[in-house]
Amino acid sequence: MMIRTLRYLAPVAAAVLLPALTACISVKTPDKPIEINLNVVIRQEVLVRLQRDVDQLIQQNPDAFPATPKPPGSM
Amino acid sequence: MTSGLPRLAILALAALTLPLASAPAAAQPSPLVAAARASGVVGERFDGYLGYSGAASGALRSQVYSINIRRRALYSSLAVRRSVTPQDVAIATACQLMSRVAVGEAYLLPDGAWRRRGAGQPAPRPDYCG
Repeated sequence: MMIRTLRYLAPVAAAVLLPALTACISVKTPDKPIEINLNVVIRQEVLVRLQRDVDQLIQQNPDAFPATPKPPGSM
Repeated sequence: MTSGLPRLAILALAALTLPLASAPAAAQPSPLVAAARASGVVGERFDGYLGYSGAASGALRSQVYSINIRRRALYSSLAVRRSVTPQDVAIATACQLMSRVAVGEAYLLPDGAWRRRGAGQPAPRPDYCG
């Protein structure tokens, strides 16, 4: 009796469970490169204020800002 | 056969010390990126990040990507300290980086065109950089 009930219930259980299994979240990686925002909006006052900090940032982080072998301004 | 154990010990020691010895090398500028910059495949963008002016290999792309991730973290932390946006810091940094573009290196200006600094040409200086 028990086995027979299970036999009837199996397809029902499968019908309920299968969609649940297939409804996984799929994450697609973007195939387009990151778009560059062409609008440059920066206040001169901010730029001037940041200049010294930015110089330090570049000098103290050669891993993120690799120094070019030749000095700037050279031919 | 008697030298088996010491040899094993030496191998184990070498295995332990090797990661320590190679760890500082990971922080060094990548030669792959350096070569790509010198040849104008990779260059500075006006927005403070590295970009590609041409076709780049997967290995190169992943290294450029990790440099840009590192830059973003640096821009963000400086932005918080100075109460400006990370984009402000990024553009201000780009102004400095543009002035360091060497002859033969590529750069991207806000007009969307990649250029290469030719021999005898001055380093790029966007007008908004002051």
